[in-house]
Order: sequence, then structure tokens, then C-alpha cells
Amino acid sequence: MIDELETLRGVRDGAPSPSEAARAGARAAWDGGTAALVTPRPLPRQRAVRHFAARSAIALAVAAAVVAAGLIVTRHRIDSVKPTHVVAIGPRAEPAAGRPETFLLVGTDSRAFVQTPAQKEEFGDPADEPGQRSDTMVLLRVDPGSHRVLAVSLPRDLLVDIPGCGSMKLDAAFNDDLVCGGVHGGAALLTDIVATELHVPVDHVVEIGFTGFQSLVDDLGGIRVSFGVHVRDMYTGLDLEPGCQTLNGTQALSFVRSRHLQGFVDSKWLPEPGSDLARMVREQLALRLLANAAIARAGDDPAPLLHLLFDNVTVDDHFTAQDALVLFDALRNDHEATTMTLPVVPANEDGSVSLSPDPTTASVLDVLAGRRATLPTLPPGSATGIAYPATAC
Amino acid sequence: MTRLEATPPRTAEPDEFTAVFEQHFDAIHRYVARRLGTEAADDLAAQVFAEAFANRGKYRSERGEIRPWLFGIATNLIRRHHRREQAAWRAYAKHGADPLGIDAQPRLDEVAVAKALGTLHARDRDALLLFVWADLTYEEIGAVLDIPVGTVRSRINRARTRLRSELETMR
Repeated sequence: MIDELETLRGVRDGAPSPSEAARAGARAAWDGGTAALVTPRPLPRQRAVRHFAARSAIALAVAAAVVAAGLIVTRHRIDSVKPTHVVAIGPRAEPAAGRPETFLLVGTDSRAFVQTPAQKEEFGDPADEPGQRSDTMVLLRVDPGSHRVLAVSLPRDLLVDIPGCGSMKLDAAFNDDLVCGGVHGGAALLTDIVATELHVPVDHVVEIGFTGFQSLVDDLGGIRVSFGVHVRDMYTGLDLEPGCQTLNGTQALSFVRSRHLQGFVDSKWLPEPGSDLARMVREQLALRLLANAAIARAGDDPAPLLHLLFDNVTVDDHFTAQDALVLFDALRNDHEATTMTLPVVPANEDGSVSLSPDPTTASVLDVLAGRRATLPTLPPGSATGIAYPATAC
Repeated sequence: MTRLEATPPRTAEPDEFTAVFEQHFDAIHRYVARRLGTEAADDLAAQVFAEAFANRGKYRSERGEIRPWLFGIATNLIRRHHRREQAAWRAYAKHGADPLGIDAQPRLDEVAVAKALGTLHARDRDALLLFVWADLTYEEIGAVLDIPVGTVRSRINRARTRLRSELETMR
């Protein structure tokens, strides 16, 4: 006699209880929510705050496309070329010509573009996943004088103080479902928080979404990467055999979004220790590769690339083609552009982090803000959590 | 996004909320872990409670207990990942090994069940697993999925038939 329900009861019956860390993290979030009920401040209009698999990671191609845009402006009149999609970030003091500028690149997981069933299948339904979250944030400091470029990834789980809402993770500031003190989350609030919490004034914002990233990668001919083992990510659909290969836009998107990488080792799928840091390192690789592709690609008539940029990204309301020129010149001349992740230490068991107390952290922020000229000697990079490194090839 | 009708928010009772968490978190976590893996459960179980809290105004005690309501929220969140869940069940069946690493050495009948789960429609799988793993009654499943009890019955029957035929194939 077959009892299918008995068998089903036995399947994965040994699933472990939640770890203390997972429990404590969820409990802390829960307590934070319930505590907010009895405080006088307005409760954020917060829905399911984030979606675990949709922590996309995108911004990178932006820099590449900005590079490409810069190429155009060096050869053509640029004043007539205007951004297509613009977001207001409030008044800014424009840096004088020739002065360093700081760009904030934001990868967003907005599903607002989703229309067809195929897109729903691939990216999720905007009805289920409303609003936008910043899954990737990279601060880019560009110095036209010294032609130096510094790209620093900001962990999305960095705890910051958002006036009106209190202590929250940095990416919440971009979440348009969030309202703090009457201010909606978005590019303007995020740049304000970066200024007040990290003391880095942001001159320009460049946002890119899923489809924008894909088409930028495809139009730049893909990126070539290599893994030492067969890797996959059940959440993003990434599935790459070992060895050198060219990723198209779809694959590149899953490459930079993956935070649940598994490698096939000794006939078993072994997970990479779940880490946003490993993902950021992959992002930085993609960023470098795309910048190179854009530079290599731009020929005598780079004009299409500028249109490609402005078709696929949203920029702030002060952004002009001149700003793209600044970035391009620096990237073209600084072949060793420095990419790094802001040094952080674990804050709570829910995975949130805070700035590392190491003095080099403040120095990195000083460089980003223009208060210091050169990077400090960084402590030896901790490769923690990177089980399956990807390389350029 | 359970489809229960909205009512005005209840009075804030933080102690009551704490009790809800303590009482139900482990069960929700375990349920999600069985469907999507432990790591996913860490994120998603927390999200279930965040969503429950945000939508506490929609919870109607006369429609049933809070436990099924929480499983309903979990089901809606899990459904966003149904293709991945399905792929994992298929991998389980294909390799005879649990890709989530929970079942160390699955028996043949468990592999057959995994294979059947990978071929079920998400709706049928939801109903079946709420019944067998979450121990909800047909009435509770109907309430949280917002479908008539007769529909619950037919979905579960269809799913059971699928499982049975896979088990018979194995013999």
C-alpha cells in the first residue's frame, strides 16, 4: 500500500530549525516594527520591504556607458545631446569646470517597465514587487586633474540614520515606498543620506534598471569572464560552465545579481557563504570589463553610444554631457582605476553592517569627498566569503 | 497580499505581537526552508512577519486563526520563486539528491515524490503542502488562498494522484 502523504511528510523532514542569527535578525526587525507603533513619529508606508532574491546589482554598466558618452563629446558638439530620463535631486553646488566630481551609480530593481508575460516571468510582476529598491550603490570619484578614478561599492545593509525613520539600512533611502518625515525615498533622499552619514557630497546620480543593464551589455558585445568551476545561482538563473565565456546581457545581469552562488565541487553543489560582499566584487569586475568594452568599442563615430546611455539610464537633473566627458577622460587615462568595497563590520545579527572603525575607512571617505588626495594603504583585502572567484579572460 | 478584506487597524499591542512572533516564527521558517532552502528561509520568514505586521489591519480574527494567515502570506511570497522551487524539485529527482542539502540520502520513494512535486502546477503544490506540511485544514487553506473549499479539495486530489502515479511507476 502506497501512502503518498506519508512519504511526502518524510521529504525534507529534517529541515533544521532557524539559526539563532536568523531568528534574532527577524526578531529585531519585528521588534523594530512593533516599537515604531508606539512612538509618535509617523509609521513608514512600508510594505514587504524587500525581496530576498531580487537584490539585483546593476549600476556598473553605467560607468561604461558614461565612458562611451564621453567619447562622443570629445569629438562632437555635445550641447545638443540631452538625457532622456531625468530624476530631480534638489539644488546642488555645481563643481567648477575641471574640478573633481562625485557620481553615485544606483542599480535599481524597479519592475515598473514590466509589461509582457515573458517579462513577468523573468523579472516578477510589478503588482507583487511594487516600487524600487537600490540594490547596488557605487560612489565614483573622478578627478579630471590627476585623471584618477576611484569606485567604492556601498553595502546596501549599511546602517544609517534617516531623519524621521531612525536607524535603517542604506538601501531603504532609495525605496519609494518609504516615507520619512514626509520625504519619500528616492535618489534625492539617498544622496542626502550619503552626504549626512558618510560626509560625501554627491554631485550626480545615474540610475539603471534591469532592462537598461541588459541592453547596455548586449550593445557593448557582452563581457568575458571565467570561473574555475561550474557555478549556478538558483535564484537568478545563472548557470556557467567553467572556463572563459562571453556573457550576454541576460547572463551578465544574473552574474551581478547573484548572491546565492553554488559551485559544483566533488560532485556536489556547494554554496558560497551568502555574502553581499562577494556579489559586490563580481559587480566591480563587471564594471571594469564594461568600461574597457566601451573604450575599445568607441570608434570614429561614437555618437550611438551616447544615445545608448541616455536611452537606458536615468540621470539627475543637473547632469549634462559635459559630466560624461569628465568621467570618460579620467577613465581613459586611468587604466588602473581603483575599485573597492567600503570597509564595514557586522553590526547586528540580521546582516546589517556599520562602518569599520579602522582609520582607513575615514580616509577612503575623505578621498571620495575631496578632503584627501590619495588613498591610504588599505588593509589586506579580506576575501571572506568568495568561494568561486570570477576573473576576466 | 493575502486576499482578506481590509478592516481598520487594530489597537497596537506590542506584547501581543511579540507573542505572535515567538509562537510562529520557527514553524514558518521551517516550512519555507522545506520549500526553498534554509538560506532563503532566513530572508523570507522575516519577510513574512514584516508583511504580516504591515498588513495587520487586514487580519480578521473572525476569518480564522493567525497561524493559517501567516502561512498564507508565506505561500504568496514563496510563489514568487515557484520556478526556482520547481527547478530544485526536478534537480532532486534527476540526481536523486536534494539540491538544498536537507535530505542527506533520499529514499527512492522520496525521490519519486520530489519528481511529482516538480511537475505540479504551483497552485496544486501550494494547496498540497499547506495541507501536509503546514497541517492546515481544507477550510483554512480555502480561506488563506481565497478559494472555495471544493477547489481546495480538487487541487489536493489532483496533486495526490500525481504523487501516487509517480510512486507506482517506481515499483
